[in-house]
Amino acid sequence: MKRWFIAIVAAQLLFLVGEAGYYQWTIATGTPIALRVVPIDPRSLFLGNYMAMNYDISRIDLDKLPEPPETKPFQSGETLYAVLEPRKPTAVLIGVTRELPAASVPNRVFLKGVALYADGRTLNVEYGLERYYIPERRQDEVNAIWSAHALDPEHTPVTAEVSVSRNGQGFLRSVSVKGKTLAY
Amino acid sequence: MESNEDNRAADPGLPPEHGEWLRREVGEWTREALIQKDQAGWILARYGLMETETPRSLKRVPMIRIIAALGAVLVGIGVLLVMGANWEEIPRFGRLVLLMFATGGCYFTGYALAHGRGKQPAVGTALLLLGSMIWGVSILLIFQMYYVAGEDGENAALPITFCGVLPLAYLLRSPLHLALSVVLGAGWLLFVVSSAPNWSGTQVSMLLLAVGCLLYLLGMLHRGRTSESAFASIYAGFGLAFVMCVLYALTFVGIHDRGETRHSLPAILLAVSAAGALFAAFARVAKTDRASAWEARALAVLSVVGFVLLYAPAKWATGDAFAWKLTMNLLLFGTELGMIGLGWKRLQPGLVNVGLAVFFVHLMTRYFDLLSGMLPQGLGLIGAGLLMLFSGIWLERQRKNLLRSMKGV
Repeated sequence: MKRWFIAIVAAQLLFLVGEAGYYQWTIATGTPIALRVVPIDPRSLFLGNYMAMNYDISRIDLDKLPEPPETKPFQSGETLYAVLEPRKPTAVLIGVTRELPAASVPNRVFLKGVALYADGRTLNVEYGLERYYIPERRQDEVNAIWSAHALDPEHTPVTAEVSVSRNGQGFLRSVSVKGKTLAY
Repeated sequence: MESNEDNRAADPGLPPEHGEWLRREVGEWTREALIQKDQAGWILARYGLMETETPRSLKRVPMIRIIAALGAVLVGIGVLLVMGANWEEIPRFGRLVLLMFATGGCYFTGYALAHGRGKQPAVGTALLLLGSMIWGVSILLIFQMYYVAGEDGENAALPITFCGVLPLAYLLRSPLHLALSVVLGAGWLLFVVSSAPNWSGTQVSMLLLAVGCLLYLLGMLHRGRTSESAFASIYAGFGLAFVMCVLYALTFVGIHDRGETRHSLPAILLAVSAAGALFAAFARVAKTDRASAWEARALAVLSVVGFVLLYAPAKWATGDAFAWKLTMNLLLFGTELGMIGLGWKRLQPGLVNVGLAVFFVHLMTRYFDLLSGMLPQGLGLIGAGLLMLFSGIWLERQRKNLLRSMKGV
């Protein structure tokens, strides 16, 4: 029994290392892009305080895209890839596709998401980047940022630095307000 | 630790040649789950055959040891608070090392205490459980560290932790780990169902009923295995809780709606449950006793009824349908009677008590459902109070009679 116990515990500890290692490696080697953020601040019951992040690419009007996708409608729960062109100050949404291309496309980043709600040619999409955890003692700071942003979004821009892996997985690196990084 | 002489002082004396016999017998009793491992140690310690703490010796623990233990606990809590307060200041690598150290430390210390030479099995088991919980929380904290959310983040933590804890439950023969696994699995199921689109109320109800039936079936199948007999109660208990909650909820108008049956999972699970219960009814379990055979048949019937309800015609299954309400109430009532009968037959007062308690809640619920609209509010409350009073007295009398008759069997 002892040998099996050691094996299971070792597997569990290795899982932790693998989990952290995978994310760290992806952040280090992924394609960095910046996304424009619309922050909201609820309280999570299970995982402490976090900023609920909404992006300008979270709600997509397919007909207004520079490269509109095929006419077959997207369904709720369907996996898709937002096609982004990395630009300054933030990446621009070019199109939406169901499949990842076999090879890299120059000047294009494919960010994986799930259609939460599909209404004809309008989609609400979740990318797994919707939570930025903040310490409880910094909540006032975040509230001040949100208030300023809500009153004057043009002069209080909030952007998220994201690393996107080759398979489209995105990982939040940091959130910046007027160029200043909120590091927690 | 108490010496052999201290233990032997409590007993007039055991002939040495009987020591081997006692060791052998105690080993058999432990294997047959007649006694726990720590009780085995106490029995042997009483006759000077093992050095271990006994309940008597623990009462004589010097105050200094208690103070030292409390001091250690305070230090531990302090360390956790310091870590928590400075968590954001610690680099990610440092946090990972701390989490691994906490997990591994609890596991290996717990194992040494629980499965070493009869030292502190209760503390060891608790540490092992703590290690598993810390591991699950570590997975979540790493997701949080890297801001991973959604189905690749915390949604994945429950099933991953479940997969890690369940093998430990069987390896360590730990009922606590099994209970944790069942809670994690149930939580994952409820989360998936609540967040998935297009599940009608009926499909969700039947899925939960199927899970309850399968858990109960697992309990029945574990009953005959001496090394895992404690698991039987855990599986059966959770299964019964699922079944009772679902049946109770289905007796209310509006819980169920037909919708379009798009998901085959509830039907598949109910079919598996029915097949498994029938197998148990006519195979190994039936050879144990007749009550077990009837229990398995009842489980099969419940699974089949659930399967039929899943595909019942829309007209019959709408919230107002008298046939639906009658069927659900009869099913719940039958399950309550079954619990009470089984508890009486198996001499398990706990099962009898739970069956009677659920019956009482069911009775009061139907009273308010049926009569509260017909009587003026004040009269309705008076009636409810009197009904509770007299039915409570009657039920308590029946419960005592049942338990008395069980003792006489």
